[in-house]
Amino acid sequence: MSRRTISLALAGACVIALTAACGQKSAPVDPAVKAAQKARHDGFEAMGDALKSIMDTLKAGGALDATLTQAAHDIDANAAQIADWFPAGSGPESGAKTEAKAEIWQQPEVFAEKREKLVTEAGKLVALADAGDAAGFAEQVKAVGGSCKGCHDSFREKKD
Amino acid sequence: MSAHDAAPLASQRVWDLPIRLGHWLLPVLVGASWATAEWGLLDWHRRSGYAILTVVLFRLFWGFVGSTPARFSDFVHGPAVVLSYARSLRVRAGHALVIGHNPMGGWSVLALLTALLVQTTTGLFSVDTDGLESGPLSYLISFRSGRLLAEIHEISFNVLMGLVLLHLAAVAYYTLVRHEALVPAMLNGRKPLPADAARDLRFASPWRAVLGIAVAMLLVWLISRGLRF
Repeated sequence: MSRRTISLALAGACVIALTAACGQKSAPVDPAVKAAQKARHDGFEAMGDALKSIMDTLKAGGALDATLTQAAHDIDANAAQIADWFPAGSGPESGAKTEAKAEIWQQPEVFAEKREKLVTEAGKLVALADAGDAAGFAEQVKAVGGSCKGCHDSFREKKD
Repeated sequence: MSAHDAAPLASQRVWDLPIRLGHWLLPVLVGASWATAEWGLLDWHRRSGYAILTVVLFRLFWGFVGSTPARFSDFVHGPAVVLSYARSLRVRAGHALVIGHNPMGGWSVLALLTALLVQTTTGLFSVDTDGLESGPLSYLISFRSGRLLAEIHEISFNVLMGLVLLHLAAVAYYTLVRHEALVPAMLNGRKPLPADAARDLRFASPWRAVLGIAVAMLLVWLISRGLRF
């Protein structure tokens, strides 16, 4: 075989290999699982939005007001739902793109403990907001963010 | 061998102090930014990013009004010049005489500066997943957009590392294969060149550099305050 033929054959093999890799389709994701993943994604994003709006105001020198009180209630309401957001089968094994680690289902007690930590801290935040305690509220926000981070560090896939 | 290789070489000033200082601050600060991000020291990560942005903004200023070899007009050339320079490298010795950045290196400078600008700008708007840590301008955009920019911040870091590796490979090539001592030149500012080769270089006043650094610092300080005054 000439060199040219070999190069051509190699190039052809590469193209076929690439096409095969692209054509590989994973099994379709169960619609119920997809819905659960979307619900938790939207829920966490709503909490992120709420916490960010609180942090933005506080960092800019602002203080507790009606908007921040509402944001605190949003976090609290979503936190209470987290228990429903991770049905069995909605982890990485679902084949869908998710940052939820398999450990959530392997260590349910640890996950529940970290989840309840947020529920507790968010409850305190709402109480302080409703009581109009601006200083206490500003302090408590850190505890809420800390409980997000505490759980993310163990159970959320870090992309890097 | 071309004429300039045969001529006796004399050490001549090419890189001014602001260029050298800015150059060496960048690896230190980029390293610091990487480390502080890895260790979760976001306060220091922000400060380090502000310092990088200051250096980059000053470098842009210096590219227009600085000393001759620092100016974009001195080293940014079109594809024809770049290609002909690349071709001249095929000959082991005696490529065209280059005093400052060569035509390929010029594009490397622009690429590195662009990557650093993308890196710092996306950082200004980034938000972490917990909504706790954020860049000073992230309050202007949504949580979702802030997360997206944080992801671009991570991707562009990899692009920056690719460009850094390319830069290091090029420096190694010039040092080892072409025996041009680029690293000492960037340290002491001087290059061995044919007599009078650097005669036409004009060095900008240090006061102009001080002015540029002051303006860059002021801009970055305003940004770090979220542009709220």
